[in-house]
Amino acid sequence: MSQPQPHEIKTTVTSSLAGHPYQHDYAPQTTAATVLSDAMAAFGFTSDGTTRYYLFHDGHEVPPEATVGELAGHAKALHLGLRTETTNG
Amino acid sequence: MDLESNLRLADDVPAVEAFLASTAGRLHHREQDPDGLFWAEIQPSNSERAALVARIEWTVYPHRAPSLIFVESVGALTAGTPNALPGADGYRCGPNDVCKPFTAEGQQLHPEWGTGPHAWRSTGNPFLYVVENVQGDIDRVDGRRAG
Repeated sequence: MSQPQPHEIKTTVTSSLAGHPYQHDYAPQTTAATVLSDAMAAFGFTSDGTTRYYLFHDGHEVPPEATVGELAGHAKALHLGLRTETTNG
Repeated sequence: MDLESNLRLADDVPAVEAFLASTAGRLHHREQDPDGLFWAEIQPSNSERAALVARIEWTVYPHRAPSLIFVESVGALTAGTPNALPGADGYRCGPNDVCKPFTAEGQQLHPEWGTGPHAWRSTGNPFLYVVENVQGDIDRVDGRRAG
């Protein structure tokens, strides 16, 4: 008999450049890199070599390899910020 | 500043205040300040470092990037010494400006930024976007000053 799947985590990503948040339910083992990629697509952001996009949580930049489950801990929901670092002249 | 700019700023300022409060900073707009002029006290994540003060002036919101310079204190009329600036790339001591796509100074220095990926983005909450970027730049150098 197979084990039940762990509960998905309701994940919300907000960006100051977007009018609405991106929301999706992710399996706990989903990496931050996947969430970032999905959120960027939802917001219509594309990597162009001039801006670095990254996720931010609890006062820190989120490593791409971190998982949704690790970030959420025991919580069933997770809120991440999508931040940018722009290149200078 | 036109009415639309004032209305849009009024909508977006609370999120900027909340963001700065979450990082032990503070947004100021004094009674004597003209519309569009703000002072952001930005506290580095390294709490042992003192806060920096950015003078942020919007002319047409949200459609134009703001003027952004660092000053010694809230209300200071002139640009500060190098010690008022973050020691991060693009924060230039000589002219005391921030040569980044999200500032009027950067856009003026680089007309080619008017289009393409460096073009000013007026979607969402541009005020919050600017302050988040400056906070991130400051924290990446651990709050060090240029001077």
